[in-house]
Amino acid sequence: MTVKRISAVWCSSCIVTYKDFISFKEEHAELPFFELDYDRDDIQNYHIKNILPVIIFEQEGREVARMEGEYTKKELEAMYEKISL
Amino acid sequence: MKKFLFSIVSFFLLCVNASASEKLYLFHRYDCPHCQKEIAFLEEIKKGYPNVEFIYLEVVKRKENLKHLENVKQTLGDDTPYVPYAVIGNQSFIGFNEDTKEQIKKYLTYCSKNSCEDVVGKIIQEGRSISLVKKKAKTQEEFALPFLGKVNAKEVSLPLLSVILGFLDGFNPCAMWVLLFLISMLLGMKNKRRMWILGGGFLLASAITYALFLVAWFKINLALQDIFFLRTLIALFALGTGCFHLIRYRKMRHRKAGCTVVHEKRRNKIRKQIQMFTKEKSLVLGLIGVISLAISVNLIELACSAGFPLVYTQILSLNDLSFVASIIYILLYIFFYLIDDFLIFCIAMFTLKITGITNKYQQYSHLLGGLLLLLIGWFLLFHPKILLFSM
Repeated sequence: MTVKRISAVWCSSCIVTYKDFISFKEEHAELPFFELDYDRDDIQNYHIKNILPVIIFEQEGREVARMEGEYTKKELEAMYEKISL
Repeated sequence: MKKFLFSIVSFFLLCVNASASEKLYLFHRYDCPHCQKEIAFLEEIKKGYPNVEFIYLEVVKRKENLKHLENVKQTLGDDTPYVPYAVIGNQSFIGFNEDTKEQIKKYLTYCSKNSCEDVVGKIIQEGRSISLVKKKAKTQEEFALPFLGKVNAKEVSLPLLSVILGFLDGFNPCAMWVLLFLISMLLGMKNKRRMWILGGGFLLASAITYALFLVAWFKINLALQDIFFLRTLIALFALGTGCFHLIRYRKMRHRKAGCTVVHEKRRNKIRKQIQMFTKEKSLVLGLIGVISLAISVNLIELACSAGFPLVYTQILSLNDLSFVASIIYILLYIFFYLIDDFLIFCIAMFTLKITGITNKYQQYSHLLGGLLLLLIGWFLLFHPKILLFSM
């Protein structure tokens, strides 16, 4: 499983949720994490609607879950558990 | 002796018009535009009240009139520093606007039919404040609050409204993303002094731009306050923007909080500008660039929050404050408008880490702002007197 986070430097919600994302990342060191910038990286293939941040869980290159907007660590864990089953 | 002679002259002057049994006194300043407007109004309605004498007492050039004014205020229990200050019988009318006009006319009609006590005449005659036989009814304006003790509702209402409206207006995310952009670029610098100067310059220029915008609205409101439908138009505007905020609240309630991605082209343009200004070798040129960016961003983003400043400056103009007092209120509004930006900037500068405010609160600011604008719109339409905090 791969976890991708798409955010932007001008986005308040991305900043406030970053701490929870890092905590989640540290607890799941076995997973590859990627942080993408909305303005600098090529994110066209991810079809971002109009809300940031976005967390995408991919399995074998295929998107299996997506979280849009502000999230907590608890919500990240819940989503991870749900798709890991 | 001087005082005695003056009392005799004043008494004589007051008794000249024997046919006029009732009196209206207007304490005014020669340099006060509202006073001139009230005098023009009184001169206009004078003919309709043949048994009322209209007496104008200037308080800057004639110091004795200022003393009388102080005695009258003490007698009537008014602690306002404002003029124009009109008195009919034992009733005072502070400031001048559409409501004052109506109240003066009503009271003149009442005193023309029922003889009213000449309180000011007695005070001038005696040269000191007097105790009234029939005191004017005072409304319950003082409230006991925990920790703060006795608080006068009228005294705190306008500052409190400035704080609330400024704060709610500041929650508007329109200009926040530019600040976050700027901070993220500044944090890449090694020179802390330069970071403070560029970021501080941006915030200061934003504050000045917004303050000038508020002063301009305030001046327009003052200049056009005689146009009777202006207040109605602003009231309708407040109701409209109030509804808009409530609709935004409803939409946000059903989705997760987050940053809305908009202004793709403009965002890229601003990003490039910020990069250019922060990398500029000359601090002066960098500062000029950041200031020009703050001005342009705030001017473009004015549409984002036009509702709050327009309604707020209308309330200020209704309250008939001095220009200096109005500017102080505007600065108070600006301070709370920028407080979140200022905090985010300072935290970033001290910790060298960017911080933000959750967008969860945005929906509540829409709810509170919407309700407040609806309430103010309603008051402006049907009960404008409620918004006259300083009177």
